[in-house]
Amino acid sequence: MKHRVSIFLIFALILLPGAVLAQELSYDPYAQNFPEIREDSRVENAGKHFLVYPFEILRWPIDKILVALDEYHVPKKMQWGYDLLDAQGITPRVSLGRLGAGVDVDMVRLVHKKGDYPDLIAKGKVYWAHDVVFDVGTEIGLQRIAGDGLHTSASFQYDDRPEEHFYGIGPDTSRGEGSSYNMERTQVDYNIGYDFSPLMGVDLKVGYVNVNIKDGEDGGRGVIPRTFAPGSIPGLTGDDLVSVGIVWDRDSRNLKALSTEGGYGRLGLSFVEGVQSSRARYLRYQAEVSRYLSLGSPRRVLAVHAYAEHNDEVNDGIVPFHQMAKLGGYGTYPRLGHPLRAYDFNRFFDESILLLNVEYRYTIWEYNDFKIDALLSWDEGQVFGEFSDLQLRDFRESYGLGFRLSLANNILFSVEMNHGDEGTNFYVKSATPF
Amino acid sequence: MSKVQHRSKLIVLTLAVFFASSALGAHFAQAANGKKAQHGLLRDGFDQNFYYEGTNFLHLERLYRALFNKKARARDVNVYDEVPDSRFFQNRHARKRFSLSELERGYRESEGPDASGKLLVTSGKLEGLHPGFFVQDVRGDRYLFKFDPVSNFELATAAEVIASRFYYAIGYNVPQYTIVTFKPEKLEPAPGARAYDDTGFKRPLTAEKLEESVLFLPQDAQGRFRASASKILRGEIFGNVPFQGYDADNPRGHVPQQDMRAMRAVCVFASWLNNYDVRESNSLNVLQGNNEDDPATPYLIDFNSALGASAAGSKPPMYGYEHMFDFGESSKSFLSLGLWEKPWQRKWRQAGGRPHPSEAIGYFNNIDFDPGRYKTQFPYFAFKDLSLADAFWAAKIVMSFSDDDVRAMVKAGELTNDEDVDYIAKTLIERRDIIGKYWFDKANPLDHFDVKGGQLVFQDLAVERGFHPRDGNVYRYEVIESDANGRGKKIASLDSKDSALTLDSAWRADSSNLDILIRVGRQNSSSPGPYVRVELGSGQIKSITHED
Repeated sequence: MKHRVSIFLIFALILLPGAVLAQELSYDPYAQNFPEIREDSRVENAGKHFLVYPFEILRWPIDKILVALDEYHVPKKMQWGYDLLDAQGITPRVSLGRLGAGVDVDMVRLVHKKGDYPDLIAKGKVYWAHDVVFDVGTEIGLQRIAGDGLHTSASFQYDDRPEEHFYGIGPDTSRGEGSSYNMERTQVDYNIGYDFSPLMGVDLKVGYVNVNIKDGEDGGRGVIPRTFAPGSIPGLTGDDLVSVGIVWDRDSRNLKALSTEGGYGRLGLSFVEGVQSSRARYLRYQAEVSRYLSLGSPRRVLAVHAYAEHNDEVNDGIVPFHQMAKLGGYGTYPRLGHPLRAYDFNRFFDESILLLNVEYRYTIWEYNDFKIDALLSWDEGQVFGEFSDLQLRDFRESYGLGFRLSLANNILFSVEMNHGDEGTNFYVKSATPF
Repeated sequence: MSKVQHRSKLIVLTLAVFFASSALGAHFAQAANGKKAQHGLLRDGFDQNFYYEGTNFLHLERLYRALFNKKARARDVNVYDEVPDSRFFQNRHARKRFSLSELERGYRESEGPDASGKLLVTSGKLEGLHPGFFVQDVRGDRYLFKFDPVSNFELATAAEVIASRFYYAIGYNVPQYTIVTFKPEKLEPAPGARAYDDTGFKRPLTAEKLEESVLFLPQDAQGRFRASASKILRGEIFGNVPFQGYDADNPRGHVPQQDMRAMRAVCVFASWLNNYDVRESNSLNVLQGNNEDDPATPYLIDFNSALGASAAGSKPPMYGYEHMFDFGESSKSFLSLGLWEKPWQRKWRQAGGRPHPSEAIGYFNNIDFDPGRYKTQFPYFAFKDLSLADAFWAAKIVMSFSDDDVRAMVKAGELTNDEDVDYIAKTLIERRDIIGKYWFDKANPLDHFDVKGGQLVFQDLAVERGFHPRDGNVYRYEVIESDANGRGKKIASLDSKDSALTLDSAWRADSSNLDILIRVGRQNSSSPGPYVRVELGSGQIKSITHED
């Protein structure tokens, strides 16, 4: 009996939903019997939607282009083209923001000898950006000599920067005294180093650089000799410099661009001597450290970066202005200054610099490998001559807000707005300042 | 120039702009009518994530509805608040139950590819780890073969076939999908075959290239490939089905797609099947008629990202919780400085940052599943405009599938492990009930109205499905008499615990029509919820309207 009841209950459970819906009604609920609906006239319809029509004119061509990109597999073709070049050791570089383009060439891969000579370095580069830089260089060297961490390389570089900004030396310069200069550098370096581990290494560097300074090409700005008193700016006629230095570094970041843990540290000491007519003679001390701390989740990261540099004249030597520490701008290539984002690039020059950058980065959107991080930034820094000149009131602040779109932890672009005493700067970049 | 002249010019100019806009609008409105609508992921991404999101409130009626929390009533519903059959949607299982074997078989034109002979690859995509081939079998039938990602054997192929069974039984058109297994040597390039490879270019398909492209495909214990085979649709492909705007295939004339209940409800069914990837570019309009003027038949296609799958492996954890780009969720994260943990992040953390241990299941569970918050890849207007009445209609269909029905359709996925079949079926059954309860509670769940023996009788589907006990429910009736001019006057108001209302003869004495508004009061619920209006005339039901 119990068995029968169970069977009955099982059948009832299975059939119940169907029985409910299969109930006979006195009418056909699916009849093609529609209520009368008054349709909008063309004018009424336009009245409801006319605000959109101007935008529709924009959407139409964009849609056509996007459909064509899909239909003809254009992104795939571009990816293939990029990968093909990259496999040959050719890496294109394009900057739409500043109308720049260039290429890095790994010549060992280009001649298909990477398999035979995996430790050989033979690289070349050329990059041009309108009114910013023309940069060409090459490097030849060896890594992992005798299968160890020993490495050595020699490099040559020429760059021409037609519009480097200059506002004078020291923390109290006036923004109104903005001038520009053209800097042409030819540099030869030799480097030998040893990597104690994949994270840490030390390098000894010897180099020569020829610097030519000319009037800048920025039409709206003055030129240095006319803006500043004669003889007040050291190195205004250019210099020939030789240097010898040692650099220790340690890199424990888990990612180069958007690290969520670890950090980077660097200590450098070098001696620079002017040759020929140059009066330069100074010691350069550099210390840099950055730390990346996940705050309970890799989606929330506190990134801290500190940088200190001091150039100390030896005997009666000078530190040429073009070799001084520079502060201002976003702090990424091709600019030479360190990041103080609410200020113009190269806004402050002096023999020494102290800088602290803090960013709170947090993820607000993720889609597969795409990610957008929001960031709140704070930069605090100053330039000064000697340590005795260091004063709290000379620190300059920059506060910022931004968004960074990345794909597989490679930054596609970063949009930032930074505000400080001298106004607000906007940036669209494809890099982080640290 | 006098002020009057100046004002006149201004008025003329304004009118000119208005009528130019009007003409332009009419042009755009009709552009899609009978014209080929082509979409792709890039276009869908731009249009839906940015363009329509950005211009949403420039449509004045949408702005009005948002400000006053109004919903636009669906315009493909009949007087009984149902969606009659159309080319886009046909009432199938919910109207007349399919047998279990019919559910398992789904839409069929053949028994699937004949893998006893050569399978000639006529074209396809040889891209990376996810190749897809157009294949012709020995019978001459043509299919599209799609494979599983290397990390998840049976995942995508099963998801595609299973989801196709559900969509078909619900009422949408789908191509024939079947599982096919075959030895690698059965695949051969057809003479003159060309295929897109990793370069993005279409190149001649050689045997070597074909062999190379299947190198990383997972195989079963017998060394066979497994694919989902969709039979190529008969007829001429005529672009994609627009999910908004106008489409030639519309029984109600010029009704925007977003005003079609069958279109709006696609998001409810997507929530059931976890089909995040439902989009315009995953649909096809196909000309199958003999006459040029015959409208196209709309199909939904590509379900290999349903259930726990995505084309690349397990479903990413944010799918179903956020649109591809989700301004709302991103804004919340931004304003909370990243301290707010999103629901999908919490769920993923609770899952240990891993999908289901079985690679054939992927990431599919009901933890934190909220039918009202489920999001598809793109925020189509149609899905945003889903009203309570629309969702109730969809939930009724979802609830029309019994546990055995669900199991039968899951069986079509031909999964090797019974545990996987049980898990997917169990998850879908639970999900069905969550959806049913959610929408039956939100909307007015009364249905199957009829007049019998002088009584208006109906069923409370929330009670019938066991979501609420039979006792403790109060049905609140308002009887409204309408005259010939449509003016109404409330003539009675009463509460009852019965799902039947005796129609007082005095109510019907003089009125041409009688409207009866019914709301449902539940135990532990202070508000009676939305109404359903039943219009009676001559002792018959003239119309039924669930509140939107």
